[in-house]
Amino acid sequence: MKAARTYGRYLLLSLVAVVMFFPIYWMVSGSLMTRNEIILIPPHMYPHAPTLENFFLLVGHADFLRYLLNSVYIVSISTAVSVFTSLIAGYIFAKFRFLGKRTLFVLILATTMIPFQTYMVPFYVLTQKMGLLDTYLGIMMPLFVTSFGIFFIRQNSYAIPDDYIDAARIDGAGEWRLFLRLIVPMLKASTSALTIFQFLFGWKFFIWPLIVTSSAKKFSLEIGLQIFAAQNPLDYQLQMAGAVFGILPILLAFLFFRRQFISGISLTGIK
Amino acid sequence: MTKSKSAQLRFVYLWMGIILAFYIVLRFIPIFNSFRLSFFKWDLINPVKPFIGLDNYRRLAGDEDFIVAFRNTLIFSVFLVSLSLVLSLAFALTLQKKFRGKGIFETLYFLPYVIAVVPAALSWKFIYDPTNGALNHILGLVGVPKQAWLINDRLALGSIIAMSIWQRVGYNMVIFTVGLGEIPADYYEAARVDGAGALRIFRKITLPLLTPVTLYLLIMNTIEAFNIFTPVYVMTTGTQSAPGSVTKVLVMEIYQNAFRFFKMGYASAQSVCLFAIVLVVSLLQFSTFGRRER
Amino acid sequence: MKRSKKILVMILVMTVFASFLHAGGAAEKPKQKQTIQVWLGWPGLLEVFKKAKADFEKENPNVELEITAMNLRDFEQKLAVSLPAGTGPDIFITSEYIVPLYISAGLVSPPPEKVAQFIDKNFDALVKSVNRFSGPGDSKPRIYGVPHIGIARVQYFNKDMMKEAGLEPKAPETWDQLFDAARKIVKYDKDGNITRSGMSLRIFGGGSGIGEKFMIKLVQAGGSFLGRTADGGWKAAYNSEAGVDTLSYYLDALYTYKIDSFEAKKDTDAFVNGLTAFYDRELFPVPIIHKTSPNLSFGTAPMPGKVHRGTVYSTESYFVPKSAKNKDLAWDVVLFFQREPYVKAFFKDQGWIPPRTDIDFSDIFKIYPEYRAAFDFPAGYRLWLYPPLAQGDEIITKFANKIAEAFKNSALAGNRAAIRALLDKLAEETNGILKEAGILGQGPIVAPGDVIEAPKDMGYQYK
Repeated sequence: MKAARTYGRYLLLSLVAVVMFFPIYWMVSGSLMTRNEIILIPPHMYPHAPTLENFFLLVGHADFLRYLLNSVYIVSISTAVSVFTSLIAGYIFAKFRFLGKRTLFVLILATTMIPFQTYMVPFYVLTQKMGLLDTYLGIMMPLFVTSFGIFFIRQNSYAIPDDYIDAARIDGAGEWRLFLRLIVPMLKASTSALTIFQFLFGWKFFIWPLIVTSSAKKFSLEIGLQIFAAQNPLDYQLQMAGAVFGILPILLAFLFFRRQFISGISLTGIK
Repeated sequence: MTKSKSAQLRFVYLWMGIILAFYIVLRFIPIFNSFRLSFFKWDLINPVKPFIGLDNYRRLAGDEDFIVAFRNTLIFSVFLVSLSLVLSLAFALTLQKKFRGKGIFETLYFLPYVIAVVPAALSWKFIYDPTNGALNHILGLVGVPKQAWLINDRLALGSIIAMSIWQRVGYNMVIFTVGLGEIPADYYEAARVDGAGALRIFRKITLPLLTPVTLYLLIMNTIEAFNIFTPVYVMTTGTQSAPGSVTKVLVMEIYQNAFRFFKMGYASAQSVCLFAIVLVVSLLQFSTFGRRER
Repeated sequence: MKRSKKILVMILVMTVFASFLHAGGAAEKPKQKQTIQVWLGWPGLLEVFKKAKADFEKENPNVELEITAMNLRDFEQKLAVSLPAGTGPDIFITSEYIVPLYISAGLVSPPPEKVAQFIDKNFDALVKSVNRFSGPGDSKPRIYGVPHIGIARVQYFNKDMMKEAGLEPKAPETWDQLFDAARKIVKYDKDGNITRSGMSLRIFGGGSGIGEKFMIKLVQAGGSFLGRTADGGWKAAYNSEAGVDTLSYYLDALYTYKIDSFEAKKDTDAFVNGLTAFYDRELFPVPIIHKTSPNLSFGTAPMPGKVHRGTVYSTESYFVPKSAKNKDLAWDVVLFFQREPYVKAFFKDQGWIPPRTDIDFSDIFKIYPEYRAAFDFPAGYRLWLYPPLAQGDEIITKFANKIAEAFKNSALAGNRAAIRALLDKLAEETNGILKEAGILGQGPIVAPGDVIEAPKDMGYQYK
């Protein structure tokens, strides 16, 4: 009876796992087919004569390596900036008193309720006035602050005992040194959680780069891939190869740091 | 001591000043302008940008495209949020106990969340392809007739909802797992001693104690659902894909008005509506579920 | 938590690596050269432009051409932002329905005499008649840009399928012939699903594509999309008998004769894979079909018709904005692109027709005889042109989205009164957009706004 239930659970879990994994499998399988195989009806559920030629063809079609570098560049810098601004603002909100603190915090928190999509139009006009359309800075800009990050770091900073901070001050540490040498290391777990969260968020951020970039030189991987797919609507096998290339960097990072990803993301839910 | 106090103040005002400056430029001004633009007839090319009061809002009420987009977004949000929460809670409960292979399942369920949206949408679009997609083939094996998943009125929105659930469920599951882990084990013990069944324990202990986590997920998922754009954009581009209006959502409508027809003022009025809806729904959820918590 | 450090280090390394490459790219560019920026909305053309750029820079070592090919929507968007701000390119390539907006705002500069003469001498009558605009201070419409492409959509037909159905492998000339052939060719599986469609209709996908294909049928039915009123205004004209015929064409194909369906594969994708017998498109699929399905026996031809035979025609030209720093140099670059080898390369590999009357394309026709169909207009051929209105895209996109809804309504098939009522309702929306723009005409329509008869003599100097 118990064994039956265990098997039943495994069966159910595996069934769901198959569904969850299938889109990734389908992408990889399609990327290994030739054009003649991928258009067959009924479709082959696995490549009967797997080939890597699509990945070589990709190189000739679009500058995917450049897109990848652009993505890494854009997302890394914007993540670094946003994690930094969150750390310093979250820490200050948790541990200092100053004029207008409550008002400012409420204002900042309120913006979590206002999605970027609702003010992207004026943001675009502003970017145009600043002369930053189609520049890396313009693409990264909206990601430089995150209200969620500030809130998250503030909550976690409360756990740092005030005595600790005071003791360091008595030892003569300057505020900046104190922040870098004492606070940041103590917030390491939340920092890496926030880094992962922001990195994923930045990587998936689509609508803004779509609007603000116009030259292929500055396409992120997501934009480059979408435009590539739109330009090669007949070549499913190339689209799938591009898609595999598009998920590979994050997928590798995820498989490598699986624990950190999951535990990091799980931290972001606690308030 | 005073020296240290003034050093502290300098530190605080310097950095808070910088943060505030960031916020003014990157958030407050654009948000304010979103409201302001909505009272103007504002496009990029025409140098004349007259103030037209509430005209943009008046037009919204009779704009069929906006109403369709609104309806679709509402359907999308209701189904995505409810289904993904129920499913992810079920996953989290199943994966709560330790057993062999748990890590593998957890990883596989979480995997779609880390996949970038464009590649995922491309793969799903191919799965949904009526002629040589996998879904029709697999369903055909059990006798289900071929369907045009992304084109048929009754299926298109549901097909995109399915894809979005697939992407969201891993994140929700992980957050639920944390919430479940925080419920003290002796609560369960006590209930079991009282002779409560599994279902009763779930209703009387798990669900109430999970309320803060559920509320957080509810609000986060709702905000995201209302702002859905990428999968719709990817799946509705090209000759083999969904027609514009069947899957048109609010952000798609804003994008089109602003960046294709260059009607920035009108698009801003739509943005303000989107903002108002998200705000009202979030507050509603907060007051309904948040109160029960107390 | 050792691993979290690893993540941070890894991200840092990647950042440094990426910025290094970017910095390297930026540092290479010496600044003394004169730069001419060229923007276009068709990335497919980039290959040929790259070749032309290399040749031009060899001849003019102190000039650098910077050619940026964008996705069409991005291109239009970027143009709209930068031209009024004076930060645009030195040369841009766009269609006759995008440019009037900029010309009337005085943002485009007319060509110098030398270029005007070149256009007058070497281009076909059609492209010259379509591309006349009035800018500020012009007493009569004039040509502003050097035409690059002039393209009429053609019909594609699968010869083997026609033969198999016992038909002569010859393009249909009337709707009746087309429907007749399609009905003989269509195939179903045991459940009644189409496995090979008789014709591929554009019934879903992006709005403008649906709109354009609808216009082809509308012209053939003897209608026009927009009409002109006596006061010079514009008005929806598709809510007419011709409009009803056009929508019926789709509904009959889908529901009465079942020669196409929503589930069947569409367009070039279907045609190259032998899943449909007829469809309408530009010429660019020709080389693609030859490449991907070398054994497919197919032909192209001018479109069939009901009242008239006819199709959609549109153009692309090179323009130089007022804000260009060195206009003379920019026009020299434009003329350079008009040299025979590049013009032929655009045509041969991409299927974009250069409307040049002085260049002999016979060698290209030998390789791709299918290209001829876009040149050989039958007598009385009608052409639908994009209306030169800033609101054109919005009107057509919104119309297309609504008409796509109607395609799904099987109850409409055969019910002419209901179709007419639907078109009348759509026309209200179209007229609403025109009214908002201040160009809605009053009174009855006196002339078609977007349909012309093709000139009898195009002026080709070769045969």
